[in-house]
Amino acid sequence: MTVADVQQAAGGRPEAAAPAAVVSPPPPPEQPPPAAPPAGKTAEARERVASLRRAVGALMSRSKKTIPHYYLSTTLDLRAAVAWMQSVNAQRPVASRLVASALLLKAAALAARDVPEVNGFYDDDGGFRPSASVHLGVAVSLRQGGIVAPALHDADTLAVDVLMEQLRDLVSRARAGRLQRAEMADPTITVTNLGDLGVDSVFGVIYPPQVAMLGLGRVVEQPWAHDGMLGVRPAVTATLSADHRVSDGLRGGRYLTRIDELLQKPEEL
Amino acid sequence: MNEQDARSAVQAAIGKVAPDVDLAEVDEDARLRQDLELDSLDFLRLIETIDTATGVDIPERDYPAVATVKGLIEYLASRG
Repeated sequence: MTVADVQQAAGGRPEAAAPAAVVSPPPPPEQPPPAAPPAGKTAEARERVASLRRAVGALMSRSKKTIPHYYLSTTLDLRAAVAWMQSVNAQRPVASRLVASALLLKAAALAARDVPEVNGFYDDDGGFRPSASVHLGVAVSLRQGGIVAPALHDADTLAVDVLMEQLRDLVSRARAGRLQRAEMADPTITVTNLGDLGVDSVFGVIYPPQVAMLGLGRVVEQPWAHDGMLGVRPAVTATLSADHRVSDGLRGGRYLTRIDELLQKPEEL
Repeated sequence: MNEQDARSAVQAAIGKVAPDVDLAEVDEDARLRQDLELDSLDFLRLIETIDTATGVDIPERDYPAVATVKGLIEYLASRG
């Protein structure tokens, strides 16, 4: 659980995110305010932040009380992906260049299609409902404070260039407070990419009623032993928080290793 | 481009990408990622904004040279 996740979960309309609403059927992710107001500006803003904090506390408590989380971590080898991205970017004007996040998100979405136990919703009455579509929730930090996690719809079907365009558009609109309600609705799995701002790894708390959260750390060059030789490769720590009622370490591990496999052939993403 | 023009272009671009940053307070040794908290998409937009304003297209292989405010100003002053 990170502050960002809390703020993301707190992003709902205050009335919809009130604790009373949170304890009954899991609400879909709600339309967030454009940004969390800076604390201390006005009494009203302070109260709003406090109210959101209580709501999030209730939601995350419910997640931790009811979802038996398990956690896995693996190191993704990004040598092929970064080399491919650099060769592509070298031919492109800056406006159409890719960032590593776009490749990671595409691989995460494709792998979710291959391992359906991490993609969908759980409720006490109906149990697990896998989702046929992959709507990838992407945690977007807002510079003024707070975070939202709108969905890249059908992310598994988007070409990397299209996903990159949509990601830029989504982030820019999220920061401008111009998200559409449909984009806030029903991500089927969420990715938190705190590594972009410097942490090595992040273990998220699952956002109910989803059943998994992928955490991506910082892309770093690290020593890499391969075939008895030591080299240096770009790599990233990927973590999975997943729901034990739906999957176990074997399938969760398969999800992470599938992401790694997909990243070894970046041109096919 | 002289250094003053480069500085103005960099400040204008930072102001656009990260409007919350107080430019008067920014130390030129500040790192764009860690100190100004630009993520990879912000950084891309910064480079794009500078390209549009100055015509200097900074290729990806030169990104390490422009990781700080000062590095970016010097890069533009030498190329623009």
